[in-house]
Amino acid sequence: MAEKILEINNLDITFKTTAGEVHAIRGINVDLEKGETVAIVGESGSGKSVTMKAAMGILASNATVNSGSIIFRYHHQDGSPTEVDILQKDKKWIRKHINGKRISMVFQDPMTSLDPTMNIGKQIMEGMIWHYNTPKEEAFKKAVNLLKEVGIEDAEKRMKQYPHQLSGGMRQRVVIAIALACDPDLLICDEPTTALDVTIQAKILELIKRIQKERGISVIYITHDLGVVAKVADYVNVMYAGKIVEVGNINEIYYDPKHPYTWGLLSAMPDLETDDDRLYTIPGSPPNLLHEKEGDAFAPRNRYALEIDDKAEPPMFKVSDTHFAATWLLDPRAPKCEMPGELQERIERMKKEANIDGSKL
Amino acid sequence: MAVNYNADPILKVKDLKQHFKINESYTVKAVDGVSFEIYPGETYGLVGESGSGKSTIGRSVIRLYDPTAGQIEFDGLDISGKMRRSTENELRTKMQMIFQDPMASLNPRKTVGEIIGEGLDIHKSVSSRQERDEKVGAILEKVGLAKEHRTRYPHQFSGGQRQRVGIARALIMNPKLIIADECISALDVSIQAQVVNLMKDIQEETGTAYLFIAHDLSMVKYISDRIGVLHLGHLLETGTKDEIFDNPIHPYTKSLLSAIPAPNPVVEKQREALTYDYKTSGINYSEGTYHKIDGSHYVKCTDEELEKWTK
Repeated sequence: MAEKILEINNLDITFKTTAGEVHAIRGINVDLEKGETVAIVGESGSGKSVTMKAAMGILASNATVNSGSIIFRYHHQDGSPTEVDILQKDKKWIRKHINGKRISMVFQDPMTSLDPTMNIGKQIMEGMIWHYNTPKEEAFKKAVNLLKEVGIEDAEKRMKQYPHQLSGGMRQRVVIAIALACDPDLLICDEPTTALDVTIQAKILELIKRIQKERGISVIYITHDLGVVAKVADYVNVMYAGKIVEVGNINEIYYDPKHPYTWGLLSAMPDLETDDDRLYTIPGSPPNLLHEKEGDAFAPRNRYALEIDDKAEPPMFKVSDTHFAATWLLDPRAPKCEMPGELQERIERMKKEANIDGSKL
Repeated sequence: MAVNYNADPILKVKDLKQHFKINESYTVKAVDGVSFEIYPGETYGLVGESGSGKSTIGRSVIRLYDPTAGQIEFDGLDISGKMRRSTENELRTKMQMIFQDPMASLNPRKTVGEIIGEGLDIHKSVSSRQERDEKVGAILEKVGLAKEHRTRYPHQFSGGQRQRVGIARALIMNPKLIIADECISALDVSIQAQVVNLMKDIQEETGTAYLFIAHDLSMVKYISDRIGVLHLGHLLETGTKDEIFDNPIHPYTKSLLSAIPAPNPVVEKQREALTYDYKTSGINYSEGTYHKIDGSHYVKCTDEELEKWTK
């Protein structure tokens, strides 16, 4: 088994707001192995970004971590392995040893994550100079190579340009170059392509994939776009209201989903073959985590909800060695329940297209 | 409701040009000679990357901009030049718009009732306070909100509900054409489906036509009857959704379609998007003329290009 580089255990976070305490993360576990890609999928407010901010030690000041640990493993420059619990370290230490150096982040909007008053070259070199004291000339050379690596032509000329002189796709490439500047072990991409067009989105995703393969780094994607996830991820965590409700490898989640919320997410997104009169929807909207509810948080929107869903929160039921889902439907005592027909048809169609049969899953 | 293609189009756009002069020597040609028609009860989808001019077309059609050249005919009235009072009244009531960001397009200092009823007040289409309240209440229920929501403010709603308010505001004047400019892009996946279903129901019930502007191609395919593909201000290809998706001719359309991520991991992992670069493609959009492929499927290109692409 490959080495686990990130392990989030039983993380629980609340935010103090003027309206009261918001229980944003309610005990989640995420594992990431070296060289793997994990996607965290969920709607806005499900807590996917907060989780990753916790891993970067950049939580807002009104956040309290109630329990849990985030274990990050990396190698020192001399090759000796180290293990830290990021939650036990103070911000200054994380800033010096982790952020940008071991774990880098690519944010959603490349216009707001770049400094408009600083040229591209300086922004890429900044990290290397700060973390490794790289001499300026060497840093410059490295930055030019990085720009070439992320597919920017005329790299030397671009070094002197400012963010506003580049198109959206170019800017996101620059952001990726900055993230890679210090050879991180882990890249966190928070909705990296949401602000971009489809054609550019495809290029950026292919770029991240290529770099990941070449450098052997691990990547975490935070996104709500299941099409993007299908393209890049090895494992998928589906989050809802601060909890992971289903986790599995990519084929298990797409061809054999078990949780009604995953069914809803998959069906709500039309694929090119969809010609039903109506799209399947998840009724209602995501819950307000200010008001904690007994039982399963998804129950009010779940048309397959059982009585027990209002009383007790479902545990993670095991489907296979890698596939778990938190829904009472998987309890042996639960009535037999199938996913919606349209989705079943679509999965059959997808399997046919992909040339796989059920036994290979 | 089936679209009646024998009826006169509700909207006819002919050779629309929208140029923005930046300075003496530089003009942005955001829209450069675009023609299309929308029939009553139809949904016409406009797709293209950012900067292709799709939003500009929507804004020119509803006359938020003064078109540089070209003709726009709405319900038999010419709305492209200076309009008569009666024409403008017709345009301002029968054509409505739904915007992308429901938070930015709703006045935070007005209640939802005031926002929705504003059109009624301006056009004096109701005679009493009671009638106004009844109409606003009925529209709110139609879009899946409650009458009681009338007294609330936009910030008290969730994103999906706010977009429902935006739709209610557009619907209150019984429009014949609604321009939906990226109206679902800012919403969550599960909420997107709700809003799209609502828009379809409303079309079924009222027979309104939509100009649906979006960059999410699978959603555009789902909701539209016909589709136009825009790039750099030129309408490169137009046709029914099946004509476009099953038989794309223009290399740009092909690259656009190949970039759509499908929720099918095994297929998706092996696929690579086609690359298309206008500068190196050797195509000059301005030289192309519209060539009929079949039915309502047209491609903008030269004779030689068509021969090359369909070979």
